Amino acid sequence: MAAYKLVLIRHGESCWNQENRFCGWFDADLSETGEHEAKRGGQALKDAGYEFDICYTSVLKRAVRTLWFVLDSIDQMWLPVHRTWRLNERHYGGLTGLNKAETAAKHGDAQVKIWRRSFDTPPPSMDEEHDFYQSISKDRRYADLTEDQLPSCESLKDTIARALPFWNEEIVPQIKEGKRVLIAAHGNSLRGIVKHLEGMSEEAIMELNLPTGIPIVYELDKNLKPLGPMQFLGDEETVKKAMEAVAAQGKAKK
Amino acid sequence: MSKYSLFLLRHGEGAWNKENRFCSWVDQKLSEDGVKEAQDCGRLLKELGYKFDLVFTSILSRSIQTAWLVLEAMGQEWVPVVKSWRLNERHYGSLIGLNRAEMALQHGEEKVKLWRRSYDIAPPPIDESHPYFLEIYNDRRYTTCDVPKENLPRAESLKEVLDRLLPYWDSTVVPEIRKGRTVLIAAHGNSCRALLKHLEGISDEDIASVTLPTGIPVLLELDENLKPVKPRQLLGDQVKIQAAIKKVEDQGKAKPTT
Repeated sequence: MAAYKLVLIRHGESCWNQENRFCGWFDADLSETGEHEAKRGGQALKDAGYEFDICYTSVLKRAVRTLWFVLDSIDQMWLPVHRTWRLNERHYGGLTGLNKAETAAKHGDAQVKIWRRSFDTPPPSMDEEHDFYQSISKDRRYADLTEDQLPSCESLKDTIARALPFWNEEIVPQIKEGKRVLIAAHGNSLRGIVKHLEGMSEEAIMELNLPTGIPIVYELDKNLKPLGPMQFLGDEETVKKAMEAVAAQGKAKK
Repeated sequence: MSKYSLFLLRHGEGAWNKENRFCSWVDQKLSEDGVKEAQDCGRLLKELGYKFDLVFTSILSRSIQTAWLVLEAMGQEWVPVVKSWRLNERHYGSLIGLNRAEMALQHGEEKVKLWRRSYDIAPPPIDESHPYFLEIYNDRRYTTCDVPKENLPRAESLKEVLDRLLPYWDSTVVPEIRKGRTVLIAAHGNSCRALLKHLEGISDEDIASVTLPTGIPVLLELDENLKPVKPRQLLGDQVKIQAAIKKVEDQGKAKPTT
């Protein structure tokens, strides 16, 4: 019997996704498709009659706006919302802003492969010369971060290492108090939570790409162990596609 | 000398505003025009270069929606938004859902004038027989307030609005302002008025003639004791502001339809 239910939602397409650029901490907005995905996700939660008590999101607008679309759909705009940099997307350092071709041209295919396959090798740092250094590292929203906390780049390991303390110290106590939690965030910060919940290996989490705009439901026991695999909410077609996509990932050729 | 800047914003048009009905604690979202008012306000604040640190709203969707639209227009979606019933619109009791014509018919012009102009006379309380009673009191958000649901108002005078707003202002908003944080309060006509009365020391008589236009940001520059150092400033294009003021005043004068 599930003691708790947790819902995660990964934001949909951003304007930069459209251009295939490494986004990371760049504050790209949702594209029209991404907005549609968020509304559809909200509708799925509404159809299933979900109620929440508290919401968490990052400080990047594509996640915040996704949450807003969802809360509007389920008519729970009044819920308390906590925003944290710790749920931000992985920081892609010097790769931020580059598209796939530019990255390969700049660094070579071999290096790109290493970065893609490594759990703990970070991309190059974003230095002061970088186009986005000022707009990201010096952004007012990060003013309270210490020098140690503010990243200039992150491996997946780094992302998870700064996301989990927030999960453990802020979110878990709320779940244990019986609060129904909704988290709207990014591919890599959500990977951190999923890896932790399911006790996945580094290899396994790197294979997992969470579907976008689709509410992901975990039923948890009183120790916050999942009672089964993650469930997706939505119409039959959408859910089927998402499940197949996730299943195929593990088998994808490298 | 101005030490702090505080911004107040009265949300724009909801569906019932168009029909001149008292919406009060009924939870309506903004109309298309109301959405546009909020977006215009956000664009203006962005042009003027303002940066918020914190936003307070009520727990009624139209004020939250307004805050979200403003933050979105300013690219400041990351700014924390804190919500409280203590910033809700005035509770209009049994008058909820009535338009001004119906009110005059049901209760007489004199009574209506009294409720609208007096500071401390509340309309008759809402009760279970009222068509909107369950819609309001069965709503889950009212189980999350800092008073038990049974102690929430059934009707309010403007004085009672300030009575439940002031503790929140003192305990939660003031400390943030004193930390030097630029605060936006996105709320309702009467919750904004009540706060203005308190901050500006407006008398019980004079507050009756103070109305804020919708969708126009109000800037209050406060000294270290949180007293205004100059008159409140309505920001933006003066022609637009005058039109907004007129719109609100005309609503108050709406003739009953025959």
